[in-house]
Amino acid sequence: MELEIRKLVGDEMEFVLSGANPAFANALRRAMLREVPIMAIDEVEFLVNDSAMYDEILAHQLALVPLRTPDGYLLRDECGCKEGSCPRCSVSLTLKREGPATVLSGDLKSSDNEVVPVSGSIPLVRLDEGQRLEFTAIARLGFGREHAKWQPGIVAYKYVPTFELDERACDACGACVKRCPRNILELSDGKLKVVDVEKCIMCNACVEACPREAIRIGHHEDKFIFRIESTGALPSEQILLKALDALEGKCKEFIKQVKKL
Amino acid sequence: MELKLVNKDGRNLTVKIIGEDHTLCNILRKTLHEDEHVITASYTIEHPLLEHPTFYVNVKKGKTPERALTDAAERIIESCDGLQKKLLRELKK
Repeated sequence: MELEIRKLVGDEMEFVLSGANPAFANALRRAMLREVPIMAIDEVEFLVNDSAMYDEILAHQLALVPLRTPDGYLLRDECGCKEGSCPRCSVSLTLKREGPATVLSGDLKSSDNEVVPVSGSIPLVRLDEGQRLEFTAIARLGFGREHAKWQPGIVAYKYVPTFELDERACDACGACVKRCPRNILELSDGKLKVVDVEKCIMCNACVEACPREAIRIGHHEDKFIFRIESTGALPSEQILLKALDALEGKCKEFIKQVKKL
Repeated sequence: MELKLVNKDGRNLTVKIIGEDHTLCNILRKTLHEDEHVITASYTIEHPLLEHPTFYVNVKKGKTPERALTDAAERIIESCDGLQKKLLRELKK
């Protein structure tokens, strides 16, 4: 299996996985979405809430604020502390505001300055004149398989498309060029050319447009273009590394269990 | 993770994999298919919320079903390891 990083800018990463099968590609995608733990607000205790939003709606909003996740925190189960909110497995975030104001994610004060909202400009609720909001929230590590708030980002892959042209049949009429929604086909010197085959979405519009059945659209069987867009909780390459670790861990645990049979 | 034996006779093995889902089962099934000693490997999740996957494997003479399972898991570990090394090398570039 080969891996080639195409792009790694900010929270986005694009890489090509080749020599793999669809089952492995999908296992990797699922592991990234579901098995990489990140921090998210899990519990909120409201002291004052005069805003128009109900406590539970606001709590839900808070949970979806992406928090930066440093290494070193334990999962709640691993920690095993009685209260479930000790400094080894949780971070407390507090907020106190009085209106008129728009309360932003940046107003959250964290007990660990490494666990802070990825963006400080996410609006949470609006307070009117004299309205007050005060709460303490507990953020914990969790898995995307449990709740989307613990999903470290968006991960998707696609096949690498192939474009086959029967040059003897093609009369360069240009019907396909007009029909292609991605504009990846062009005519030059009376010949049909593909500009960037990877932009193809395999919609088969060109195949249908061609009066002489000269085009065939397919895909490589063992090549996948992955795209990771992190929420910012973890750098995108870390998501991939941790997902591989998680998949490996699962297999190791499986071997151990099989031996017990 | 926990394995619960459902049925075992000679070259057939059926186990329930408690606490797992498609993430592990599908890749395991696919990897078992690449093993020449394996005749059948499949799994089912009767209900996505209520049931754990039931994994079935059937092998030819020369390998126990347990061995086929651990071999497949080891091959996945190898792939992950290799990929991780390649990723780290790419990141250093």
